[in-house]
Amino acid sequence: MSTADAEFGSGEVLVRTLTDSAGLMRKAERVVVQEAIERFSKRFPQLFFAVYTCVLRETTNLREFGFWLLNRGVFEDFARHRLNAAGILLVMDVEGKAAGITYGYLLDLYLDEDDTFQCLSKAHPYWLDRRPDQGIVALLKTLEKILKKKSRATRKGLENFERKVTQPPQMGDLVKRIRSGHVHNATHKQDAATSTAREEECK
Amino acid sequence: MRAIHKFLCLVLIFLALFLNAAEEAEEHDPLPQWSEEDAARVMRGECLISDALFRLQEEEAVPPPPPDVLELPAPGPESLNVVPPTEILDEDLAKYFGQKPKSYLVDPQKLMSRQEFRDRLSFLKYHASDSNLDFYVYVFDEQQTIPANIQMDSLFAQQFDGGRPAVIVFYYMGAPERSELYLTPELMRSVGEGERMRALQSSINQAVVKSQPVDQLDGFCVQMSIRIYWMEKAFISGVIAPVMVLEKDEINEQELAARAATTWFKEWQLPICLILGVIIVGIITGWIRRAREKFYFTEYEIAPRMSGSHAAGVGAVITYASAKIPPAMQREQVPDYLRRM
Repeated sequence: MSTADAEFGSGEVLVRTLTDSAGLMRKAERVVVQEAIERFSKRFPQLFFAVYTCVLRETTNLREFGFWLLNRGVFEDFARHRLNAAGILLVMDVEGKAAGITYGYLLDLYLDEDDTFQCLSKAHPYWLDRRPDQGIVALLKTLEKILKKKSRATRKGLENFERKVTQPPQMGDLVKRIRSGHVHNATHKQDAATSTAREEECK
Repeated sequence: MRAIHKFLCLVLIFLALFLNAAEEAEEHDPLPQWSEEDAARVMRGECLISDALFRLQEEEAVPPPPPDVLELPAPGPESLNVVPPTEILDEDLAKYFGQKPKSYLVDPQKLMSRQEFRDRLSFLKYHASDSNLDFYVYVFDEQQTIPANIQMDSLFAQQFDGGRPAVIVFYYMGAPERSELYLTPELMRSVGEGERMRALQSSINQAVVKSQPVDQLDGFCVQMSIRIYWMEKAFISGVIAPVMVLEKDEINEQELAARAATTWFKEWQLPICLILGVIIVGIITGWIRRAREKFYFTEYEIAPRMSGSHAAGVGAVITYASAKIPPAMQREQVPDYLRRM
């Protein structure tokens, strides 16, 4: 974080959930995206979704910028009652034609890189076709589907998310595992040695 | 001139007297004559004058011949076999139903005279020449009944198989209201039962207004011919379903199944509608509920990483600079591949 602060600044940044600083979208397109964002917020009252378009320098890392913005950004239309930990941020580098997703700690257990990649893949054809608003809408639809599934799984207890946040195993357990693994590997090696000896005898 | 007139008057008077005398001589019997014995008896008062005068005429009159006695034939063994009016002889039944009729009018019992038969047959022939649907009339007596063991539908399906579609009517002479209507299989499947009943009823209505049985048959045939015309129009225009060749048993099974299904549906109509209504309302309610459903997540305490106070979850990054690099090629995420040098 300190590296990012050094590059982008350590102060808070006031932004909105839809900040088109690169001027990527027309007014009508912005309305479409804003409506989609509001629908998402109604469907998931704990969460919010934000879009930030910008032009990054060639040396800037998109992931790093997203990480920094979600930690330092103050989303004035949602921040009062929703913490950034419940946010999902889409950063679009208009010059570099790249986009990335960053999400807060609340979603750490429910989203992973594959999910975000799936969402971005849905938006890819629209962005290629220079229709950024439709791309973002498609991305949000896919994201909603994934989050609905995860929410239902949480409710029904189908997936034990709590297990993911449990403490790492104790040192004794690790030693046991390592030992058992060594034994297993040793037996395998022994078997290989006996088989080569038999082959030599046959010859 | 006056002399001539007097002469002509005299001639006419004589002529009239002569003719009158001749007529009287021809018409009247000769006057009775007195015998001496009768005159003596009348004088003695033993008899009346009239009796004595007309006794001679009575004696002379010829007695009338005795009336001819109708000699009935002696009852033989054949006259004992009286057929009840409701039955049809087996030989006639064979002529009715043994084979496909060769004539459009089937009357093996000779219930009509030859002339009546010819007239009705010519009408049916005319109908056949003008229509694609043949019209057969089987004539029965007023009270006759057809044995119940004859399955008409299957019989006609067999006899008329492969031929032109036909309408067959069982007509009871003097009782048109007993008439029965049968159709060959292709028409049976095409023309609905309601239409068949209407055609039969309207023909009966046309028949019953006549008094003579033969005239009733005329009225019936004319009206049925009109109804057949409309059946044919619908058949040609394609309103009716295409003909499918089915086996006899299959026809019966299908009809039975259709009737059973109809009966079952009538019995269970209300519960079915209720269940369907509940299902539809349930689907709509579920759809609305899902549309308005809100989703929540359990919040866990997560230790901050990379000194990020709110977030450290860095997701995927994708580039859309070129269509030659689809998302599939970007599956393997390289942390710093976007850093442009």
